[in-house]
Amino acid sequence: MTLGLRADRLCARHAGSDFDALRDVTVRVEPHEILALVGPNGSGKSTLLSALGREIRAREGVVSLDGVDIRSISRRAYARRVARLPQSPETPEGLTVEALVGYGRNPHKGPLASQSSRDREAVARALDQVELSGHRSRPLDQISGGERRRAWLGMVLCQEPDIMLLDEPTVALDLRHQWELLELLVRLNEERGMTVVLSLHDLEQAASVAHRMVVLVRGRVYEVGSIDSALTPEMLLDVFRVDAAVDHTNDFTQVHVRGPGDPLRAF
Amino acid sequence: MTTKSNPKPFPKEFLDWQVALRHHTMVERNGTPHMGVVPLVTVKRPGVSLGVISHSIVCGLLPNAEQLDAKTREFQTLYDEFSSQGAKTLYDRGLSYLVDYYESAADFDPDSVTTLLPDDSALTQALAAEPTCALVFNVFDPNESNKLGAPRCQQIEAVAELHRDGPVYDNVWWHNTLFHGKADGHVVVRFRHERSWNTCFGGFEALDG
Repeated sequence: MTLGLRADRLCARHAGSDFDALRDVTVRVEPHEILALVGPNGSGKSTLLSALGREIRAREGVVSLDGVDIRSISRRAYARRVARLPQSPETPEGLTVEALVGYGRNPHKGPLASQSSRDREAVARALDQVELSGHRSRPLDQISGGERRRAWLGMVLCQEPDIMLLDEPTVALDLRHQWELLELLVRLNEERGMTVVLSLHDLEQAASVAHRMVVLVRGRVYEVGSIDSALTPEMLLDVFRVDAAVDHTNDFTQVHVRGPGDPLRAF
Repeated sequence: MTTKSNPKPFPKEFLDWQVALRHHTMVERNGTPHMGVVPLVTVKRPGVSLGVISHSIVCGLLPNAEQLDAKTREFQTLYDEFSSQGAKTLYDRGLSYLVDYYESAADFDPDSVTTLLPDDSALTQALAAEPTCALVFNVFDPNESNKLGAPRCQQIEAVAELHRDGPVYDNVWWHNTLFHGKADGHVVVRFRHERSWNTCFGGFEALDG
C-alpha cells in the first residue's frame, strides 16, 4: 500500500471551465512532511490543493489517500484525516471566533451530538495555538483580517487532521504572525507528525519551513524536489521569468531578484 | 477534416531552411522557437474589420508519411517514460531527442507545415470557413545571419486542413505535449502548400471580403 496523499496523472478543471487548470499532475505527499507548492499566479497551486482536498473532482487521473481512491472515502471520514484552508473562505455573518473554531469538530461528532469534553479541549487548544483565546466571544466581522485568518486556521487545527492543506496561509498576516504561523506548522510537524501541504508566494518562507517543494507552471509540475534542488536560478528564470541569485548557505535561503529574465525553456 | 487541397512540394530551399532553423533551435536555443518558424497566417474573414484575420502561429514540420506513425510512438514513449518526473525533465529529454531529429529535409513531409490551435479560436473558425490562406515568414534577425544565411522573408500560400483525430493529429499533439503539456480542446491545422492567386498578401481581393 502506498502511504500518504497522492495525485497520479491528475487533470482537473473548475466547474464551468472548458480547460484543465491541472494537466497530468503527479505529486506524492510523503507522510509527516511539509511540502510547499510554489509557482506564479494561475499556475494551479490552489486547484491542486482543492483536488487534494476533495473539493473538485479529477477529470482524469486519481487522488488517493493511503492507496485508496478518495472518491470511495466518505466526506466525513476524509475530513477526519485531511483538512483544507482555502485562500479566501466566506465568513458566516455573526459567527463568533469560538463557534467557527468549533466547526472543526464536526467530522468527529454525530450530526446532532453536542460537544464532548474532548471537543471543548480541542477548541481551547486551537484557540490558544492561534492566539485568539482572548477573542473567543467576538464576532468574526468585528476582528481584523489577520485575526480572521488565524480563526480559520484555528478551525483547521481543531479538526485534528493528519494532513493539512493550506492555501496561502500567511496572506493578510503581519510579519510577526506570518512567522508565528509558520513556526506553529513546523512544531505541529515535528511534535505530532502532522503532514502539511501549503502554497506560498514567498519563496524564502517556503524554503524555511518545507522539506520539499513542488514547482508548478501553467497547470503542470515543473519539478518536485528538495529545496536546494528545486529553488534555483534556472527555475526562477523558467517559471517566474526573473533573473535572480539564490543563496542556500547557513540554513537560510535567500533569493535576490535582479530583474526580468528570459526563460531557458519554451514551455 | 476539411480536404480540398491539391498540394505542391515547397520550394527546396524553403524546406532546407526550415529544417536548418529547427536544428539550430534545438542546439543553440534550448528549443525556444526562432522567429523563422513563427509565420503570420492571413485568411479572409468577411464581416470582421478589413475582411481578413492575421495571426502569428508557431509552426512545425510533419515527418514524411513513411515515418509518421513511428515518430508519433517515439514521442508518446518519451512522454510516458518521463512525464511523472516533471515538465523540466520531460522538456530536456524531448530536447535531447530532437537534437538529431532535424537533419535532412527528406525526413519531412514535402508540402506541409502544422500547428495546434484552440478549437474555438478566431483563427480556427476563419480557417474552417475559408481554408485558403497565406503564411508569411518574416525573419530579420542579423544575429543569426552567420549561421543560417541572410535574413529572409517568404510567403507560402496554403490550404488549411483541420484535424481532430487521426495520424496527423496524433503526431502534432504528442510532439506539442512533450514541451507544453496535454492540450485538450485543440485542433491540428495542416497547412498544405498550394499556389493560388487570390490570397496574395497585400492584394485587394481579401480586403473586399
